Amino acid sequence: MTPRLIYSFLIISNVWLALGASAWGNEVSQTVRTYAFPTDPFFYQPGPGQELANVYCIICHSAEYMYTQPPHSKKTWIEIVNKMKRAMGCPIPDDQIGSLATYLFQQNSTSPIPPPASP
Amino acid sequence: MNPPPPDGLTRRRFLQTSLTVGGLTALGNWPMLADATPALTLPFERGERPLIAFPEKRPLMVMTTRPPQLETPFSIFDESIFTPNDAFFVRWHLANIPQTIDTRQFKLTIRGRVNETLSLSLLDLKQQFESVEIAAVCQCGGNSRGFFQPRVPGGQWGHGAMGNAKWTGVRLHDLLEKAGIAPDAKYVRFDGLDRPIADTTPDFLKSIPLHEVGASQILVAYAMNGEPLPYLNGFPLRLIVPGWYATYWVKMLNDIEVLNEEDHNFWMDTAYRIPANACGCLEPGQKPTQTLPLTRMTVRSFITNIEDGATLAASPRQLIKGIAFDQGYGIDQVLFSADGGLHWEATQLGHDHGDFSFRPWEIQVVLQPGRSYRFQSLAINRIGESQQLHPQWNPNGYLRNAVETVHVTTRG
Repeated sequence: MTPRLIYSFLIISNVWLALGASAWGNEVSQTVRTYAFPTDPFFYQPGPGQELANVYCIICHSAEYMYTQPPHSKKTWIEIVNKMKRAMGCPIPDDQIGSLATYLFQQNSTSPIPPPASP
Repeated sequence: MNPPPPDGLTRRRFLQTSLTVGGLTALGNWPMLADATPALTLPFERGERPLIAFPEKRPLMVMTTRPPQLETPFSIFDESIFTPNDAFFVRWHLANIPQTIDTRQFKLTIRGRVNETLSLSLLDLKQQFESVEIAAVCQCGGNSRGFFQPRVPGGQWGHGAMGNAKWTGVRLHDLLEKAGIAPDAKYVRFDGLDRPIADTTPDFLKSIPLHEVGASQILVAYAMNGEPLPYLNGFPLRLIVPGWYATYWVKMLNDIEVLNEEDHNFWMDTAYRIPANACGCLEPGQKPTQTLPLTRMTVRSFITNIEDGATLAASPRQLIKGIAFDQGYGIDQVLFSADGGLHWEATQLGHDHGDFSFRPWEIQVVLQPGRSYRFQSLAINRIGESQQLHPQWNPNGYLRNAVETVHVTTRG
C-alpha cells in the first residue's frame, strides 16, 4: 500500500468513527466507546543516527516533537536526551546518547518539518 | 532484522513499535506533499502546523500526533465565549491511551487514607451526588511557550492551548466526604487510564494539597458544554480545577488516592515546576536554585477579532474585541492601547459567566488612514494583579502573561 493509499484509508476510517461517535451521542444503549488514534504521519528523516531516533525516540512519541522544536544548541539536545533517559525512562544505552543528540541537533537545525502525507 | 528489545518495554509493545518502523523502512521516506494539507503557521521559527481532523474533532493544529497534542486555531476564540468541544485543545503526556472504554465497567475508585474505599460507576456518580456546573478556563501550563525569547524546550504552543467550557460533574469535596477522610490525610492524588509505553516511564499522576480541596470548586466532571466529554478531552471523567493550570485536570480520571504525606512522584517533584520567587521568572538562560509546583494561572487577555499583521480600512468606529481571564478572582477591567502601550483606555466588559470563565471585552476606536497601529490589551483582576508589560522568562516556558501586540496598518 502506498503512503497515499494508507492515508486515504485512515481518513475514511476516521470519518466512519466520527459518524459512529455522533450516533452514540443520541443512542443511550451503546455503552462502549472506541477511538481510532491516527498513526504517525512521518518518521525521523535520513541522516547519521536516524536509526537511533527511529528505535528509541518513537517509543513514546511521534517525530513531530523534535521537528517542531526551535533550533536548540547541541548542549541542549544532550540535556534533552539525558532527560529522556533518566527522567522519562528511555532505554537508550549511555554510549549512544552522544550520537543520538548529534542526529537530533543536525535534523532540528537543518531539516524542515516534513509535511504529513496528504489524503 | 529487528534490534533487540530495549529494556523496560514489554515484548508486545516493542513488536508494535518495531513493526511500525519496519513498515516505514519498506516504504522509504514519506513523500513531500506540501501543497495538499491545509496548515497554519505560528509566528515563530518552526511554527508550521498541519490542520488535521482527529475523530470527534474539527481540523486542529497538530503539534504531535502521538501522543495527541492539538492546538485550537486562534480565530475560534472570536466565535464564541465557550470553546466548542470539537475545537478544544488536546494535550496528552503518555501515548498508551486506551482505545476502548466500556462505560458499564468503568469505575472511579477513592481510596488511601479514607474510612471507606469507594468504587463508583458513572451512574453512581450521577445518582448519589449533587450535580454542579461551572464555567472555567482550562489552560496548558505551557500555553504560548513558543513565544519565549530565548526559546525553551518543550511543546511549542502558540496561544491556542487553552479553552473555556461549562463543566458539569460532582464536587470532589462531596466524594471525599462520602469516603471519609482519615485524620492524617494531607494530599489527594489523581490518576487516569493513560499509561506510559515503556515500563520505565513514570505514570502521569498529579496531587493537590487537601487544604486546597475544602473551599474549592474542584469537580469530577462528566460533561463539557452539555455533552459527554470528547474522548481526547478525558472521557468519561475529568478533574476540573478552576483557576489552576490544566496539568492538574487529569483526564480519564479513574483513581483518587488520599495520601498522608506530600507526593514526590516525577510529575510533582521534577516536572511542572517554576522558580520559587514572586514572579516565577529568571534572567534568560539562568537555572532556578529553588522551585515550586506550577499551580494557579496568571491574568491574561487577548484581542480575538483582528489578526497580527492585518490591514484594515480607516474607520470612525472600528470594533476591537477580545477575552480576558485569571485564576478566579475575576476580571476587574481590561485596558486597550492602539499605540503599543503609550496611552490606555478602558474597554467595556461583556457578560460575566463566572470568575473562572473567559470574560469578553470590547471597545470602538477611530482608525486614521495610512497609519501603523500596535494594538494591545491589558487585563487587571479584582485583587489588582495585571499582565506584565514585558515578557518574563523561565526555563520551562510557563506562566506567560505579557501584553500581546497585534500590528495593524490602515489603507491610505
